[in-house]
Amino acid sequence: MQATKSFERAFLKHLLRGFRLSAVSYKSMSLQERKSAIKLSADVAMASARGSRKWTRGLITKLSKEDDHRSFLRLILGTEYERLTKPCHGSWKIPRSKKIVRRSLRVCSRRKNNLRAPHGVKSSVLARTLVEKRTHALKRLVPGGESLDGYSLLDEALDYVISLRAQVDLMQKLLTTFEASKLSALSKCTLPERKASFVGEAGIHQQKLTEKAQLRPKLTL
Amino acid sequence: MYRGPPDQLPSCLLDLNWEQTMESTGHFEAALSSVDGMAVHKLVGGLPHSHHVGVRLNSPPRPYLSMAGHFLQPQQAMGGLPPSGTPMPLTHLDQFSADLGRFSSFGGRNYGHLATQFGFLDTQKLSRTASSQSLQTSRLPVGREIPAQNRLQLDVNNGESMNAREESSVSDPTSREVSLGAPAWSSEKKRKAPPKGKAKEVGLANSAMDPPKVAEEDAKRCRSNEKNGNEDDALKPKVEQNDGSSSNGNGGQKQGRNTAAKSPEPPKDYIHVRARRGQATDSHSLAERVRREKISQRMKLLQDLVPGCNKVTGKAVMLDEIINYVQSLQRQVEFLSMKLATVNPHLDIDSLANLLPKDMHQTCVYAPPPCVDHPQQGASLHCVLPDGMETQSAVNLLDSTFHQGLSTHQPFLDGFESASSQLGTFWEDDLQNITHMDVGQN
Repeated sequence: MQATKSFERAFLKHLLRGFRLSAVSYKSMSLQERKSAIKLSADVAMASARGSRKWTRGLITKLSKEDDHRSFLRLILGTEYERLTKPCHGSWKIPRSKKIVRRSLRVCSRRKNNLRAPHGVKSSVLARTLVEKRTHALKRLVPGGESLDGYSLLDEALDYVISLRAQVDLMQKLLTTFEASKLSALSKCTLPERKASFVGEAGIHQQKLTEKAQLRPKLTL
Repeated sequence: MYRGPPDQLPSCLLDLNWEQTMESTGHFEAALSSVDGMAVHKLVGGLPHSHHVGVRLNSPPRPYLSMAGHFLQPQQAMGGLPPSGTPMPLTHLDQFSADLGRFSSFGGRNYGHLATQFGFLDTQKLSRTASSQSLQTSRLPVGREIPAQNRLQLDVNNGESMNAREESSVSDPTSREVSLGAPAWSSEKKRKAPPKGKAKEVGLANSAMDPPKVAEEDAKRCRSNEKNGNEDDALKPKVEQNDGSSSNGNGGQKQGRNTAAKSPEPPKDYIHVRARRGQATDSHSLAERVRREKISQRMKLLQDLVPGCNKVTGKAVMLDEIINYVQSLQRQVEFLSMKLATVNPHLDIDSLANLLPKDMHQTCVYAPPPCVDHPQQGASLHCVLPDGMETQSAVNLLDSTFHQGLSTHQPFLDGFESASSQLGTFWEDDLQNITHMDVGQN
């Protein structure tokens, strides 16, 4: 249940390539821009390191929906871009008939109406609806999971979780190494410069803390 | 069934039979055997298309019926033959009824009736004659296998038919009246055609007990049966195929799969499903069960993967945990990217490029033991920083990074709560560091 070494290596390679291509280290960038660029390159690195799965396709397609990401994606993926973002029948997108969708919606609404009725709500029905609700939530969470059914959704979720874990792990490691290297870079500087930089950094940290405080309630949802 | 186009029966055979029946009981056995052998034979040979032989072979009380059939058939066939032909079948009938007479009084009575009319032997005598080999063989299966009720019915039917026969023979033994009696018989026979396996037994018994003639007869019968059985044989495989395809269409496929599985490389998509007791076995529920098993297997894997999920039971709760975990991971990625964004601007591309291969190597290769690469970093930092105060701060930083390293390499066991707290401690460490340094500098 661990991501393989080859996955980690490929992820780091793609990630750093993404950094270089998106030029995150330019000082002209704002923090938010830089953050989104890093996030994007991390996601793309994860997807391209994992290779061809349904969730990777879904992820890349989702990312390519935003206009400012598209050029970067085309840059980093190269020839793969067309293949990965092309809608592929049977894998992540199912052509739907309007008629069928309408009918199923009608059925769904009818079921809901039935549930709303106070009498005759069995526990088994309730449990099933709970499971269905969670399955829908999971579908929204796993990229490209909208068109998957029970087994394949769980399969993709499993794979996605493993990859995400590896991604988090690796980004953490990268962060520590960056900080260490930053330290070594800072140590070369003269004292006043360093002080200034420290003050600046503290300011950033402060900002981050407030952001984190904002983030927290969202996370505990 | 018995209305197949009758060929002409040789009259010599009939005459012979007639003569033989006129003989004494001592010769009767021989006559019987010869009749059994030859008459049946010729009949069979003469009427290849009549199903009568097939039926006779296929039914346990066949010998009786066959005899009756013989007896009827010639009647039908003979149409314009002289009335002298009738006694022949009647002898058969006599044997027949005598044999039946052992089982019930019906046959005996009827027989007696007949016997008195034709001036024949007593029932007892005939019953003695009935103990001849061929009749014994014929009697055996009946005694063994036909239930009493059946037997009774048989007797009654015999009685009826005999009565009819009797009437016909007495009043006017023409073919028309006889043919009136015949259909009733045939229908009765039809109704009583028992399973086929027994027939073979009888045939075997017959061949075993009557050495040469019956064997010959059997052989010929078999041949004729083959002729007749062309239909039967053609039907049998079809029926079997139908059975195979209709009753278990799955079974057929499974057999095919089994044979495929026996071949060197078994297909991988073949899933062996066994229904436990009380479970449905139709293909839909089997497929549904397979699907559920696969899903539960995935769920189990996810349960192992997601921390804090192995305690909970219930699919909904488990899904909840999984969703929470995925969300927490996604937010961690967000958070880490933010952190990287704060770290990054101080690194220019060149230093990044210089840094990357080594760090990648470090993080990739020496990742599992986190204590390994931090001392290296510490050593490098010590080399770089000669100043006392700076070394102190460096050591502080080192400690903090070390803690970070430990905390990062800790598996995220407790979901996001712990992760966020971890990160909180990390931030605190960082802040402490900074304040430390500030204090040190001031």
